[in-house]
Amino acid sequence: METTNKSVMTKIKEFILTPTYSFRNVILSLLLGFVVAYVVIIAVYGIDGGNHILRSLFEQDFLNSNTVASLVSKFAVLGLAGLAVAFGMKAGILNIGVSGQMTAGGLVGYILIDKSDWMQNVDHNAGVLAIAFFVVIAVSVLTSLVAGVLKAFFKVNEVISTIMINWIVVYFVKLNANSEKGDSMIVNGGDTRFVAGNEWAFAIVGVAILIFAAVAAWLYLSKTKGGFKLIATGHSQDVAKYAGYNSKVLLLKSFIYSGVLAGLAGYVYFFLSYNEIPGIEAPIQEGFTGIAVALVAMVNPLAIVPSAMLFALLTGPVDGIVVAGFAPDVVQVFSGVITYFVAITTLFLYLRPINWMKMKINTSKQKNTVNETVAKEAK
Amino acid sequence: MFESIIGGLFILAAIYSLASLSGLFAERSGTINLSINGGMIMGAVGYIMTSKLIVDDIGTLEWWVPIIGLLVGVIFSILVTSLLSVAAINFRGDHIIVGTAINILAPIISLIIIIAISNGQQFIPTTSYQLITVFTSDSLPAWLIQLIVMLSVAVLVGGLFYVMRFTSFGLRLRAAGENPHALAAAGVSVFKIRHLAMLISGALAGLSGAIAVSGFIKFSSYTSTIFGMGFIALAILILGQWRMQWVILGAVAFSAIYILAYVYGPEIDENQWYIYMVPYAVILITLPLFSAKSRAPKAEGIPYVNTGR
Repeated sequence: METTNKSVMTKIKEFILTPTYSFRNVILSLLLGFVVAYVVIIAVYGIDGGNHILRSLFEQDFLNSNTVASLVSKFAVLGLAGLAVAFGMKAGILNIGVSGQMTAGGLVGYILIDKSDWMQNVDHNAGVLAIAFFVVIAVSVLTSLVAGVLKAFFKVNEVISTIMINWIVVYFVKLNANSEKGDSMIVNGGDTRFVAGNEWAFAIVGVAILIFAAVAAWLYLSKTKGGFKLIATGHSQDVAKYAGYNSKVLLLKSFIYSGVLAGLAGYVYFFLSYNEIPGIEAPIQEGFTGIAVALVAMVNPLAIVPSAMLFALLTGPVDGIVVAGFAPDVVQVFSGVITYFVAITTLFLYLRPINWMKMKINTSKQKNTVNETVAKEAK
Repeated sequence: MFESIIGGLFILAAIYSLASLSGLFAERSGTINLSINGGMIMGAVGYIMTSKLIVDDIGTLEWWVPIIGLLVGVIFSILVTSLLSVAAINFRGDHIIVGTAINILAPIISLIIIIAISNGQQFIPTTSYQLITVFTSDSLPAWLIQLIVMLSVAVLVGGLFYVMRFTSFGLRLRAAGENPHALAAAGVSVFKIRHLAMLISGALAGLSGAIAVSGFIKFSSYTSTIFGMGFIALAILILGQWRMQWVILGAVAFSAIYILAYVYGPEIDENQWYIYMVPYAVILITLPLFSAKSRAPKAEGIPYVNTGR
């Protein structure tokens, strides 16, 4: 009963100060990752260059309505990709194929709009967008299920199979983009009928989808029986088996849900923020940043929202950097280094300088007393 | 045509054998090395950086420049792989997640290096720094150089086979992957063996990446990516069931498929992307055939905790 009587402040204090919470470790590794990334950038570009890159990340001289809208869209995409990864991790799978699933969904959606006369005749943009919504998600789920079936029935590691699928999707995109119009595939010959003029509306829809998906995923994972079963399978397939769960079906289920979330990310990315399938040489980066987003959020669906916001800020507004003459990819140093440090948060589990010093002092005291007693006995 | 197929096969077989063996040495010692791709990228950028800097300095491409390039590539790769070995062996991080993080990190490090040494360009044309261009002349055709590279790699692989199979170090390495506690009970430091294995693993990945940019037709310019070769190497490792002879066989077979697709692709169809998909699809289809009866090392991916007994 005492715990319920504690004031909110003490609870927050405990949450921050108790070292067993991994929250502390994540914050520490975020800080350390940020510092190390900054040192790397300074080492390459000098102090002035480093400061400039940092400034252009946070003090925007180049802010206008459109860039902020694209930043908000990016936040939604990263959040949804992170959710897809996090949902998989909860169920014990590492879905690296988010990138390929997003792209496959977007590609088939565009091909359908581009090729079928029936879709061309649908006059209302809203109608096209609604149909595309379901097409993207369906294709994304199918792509995800390929890896799921391989894992459930043939024990193929999902990391390998999803990476292969990512590259196959890349070549599908190249096949279609090249055969059509130049390097990128644009609906209706470049008629920007979806996004132009409506950037903010679409960005807000994207964020709404993200928040809805995050809450739904949280409710499902922590409040329902199905979610509990998924997490149990993720912890140990054998335990799930002994508990009477059909672990194969659960595994396929988690791939389906992860695919749905990846499909949402692809929908926001290709239909609500970009207006085209860009010509790509490698799997798109957002799917991989999703891994970092999920890790920083400690695989908690609700924590994905602030985590995605952080990564959108870190990797998003590159206009200032481009204008200053730096390569836009420089900002990815931050996400890469932070991912590495968050991946080794166990490091910080052992990093307790005060405890360590206390321990050292105690042991040296003990040694002294032992030495004294030994000396006394010797006398 | 025939010569380009043969030469490409030699080089590709060398690249994929080294990369898969990099994975093999790591996994037989109990560490899942997902960052082969990252190691290869670092090897490639080390090679490119060294050759460009030296050539810019002395004006011509001397014969010893690529050799130093290979060495620097190996060192770069060892450095980036040690990020994984420290995190996975000492700090007990999740091997797969740390490996993924390094795979995200390596292209970025590589990109920064490329931008720093090439006045803001994001790519470096590699043809003028390639090992092949140094030695190729009228009397020495390119495929002969590629054959020599492959033969030296074959000698190296033979040496590694001997180490793995017939020396006490190889036995300890395999024991560290199957039953580390038994190894510790025998008085051998598991950490030391695993770190040594990761050192070999990093060196092999770097060598393979450096060879990839130094003699392979695909890289007319280096743009901080290695086209996912490291992941294919991992898949070959699984196809070969973690046994050296099968892994080498798999690497050669896959190289043959790949080079045929790559050379004949543009011939068959203008839209050669169909055919470029084939190698990845082949792996995706063959994986289930081999994965069901897995002979993976038993302690793979499980952090070793020294219980002090």
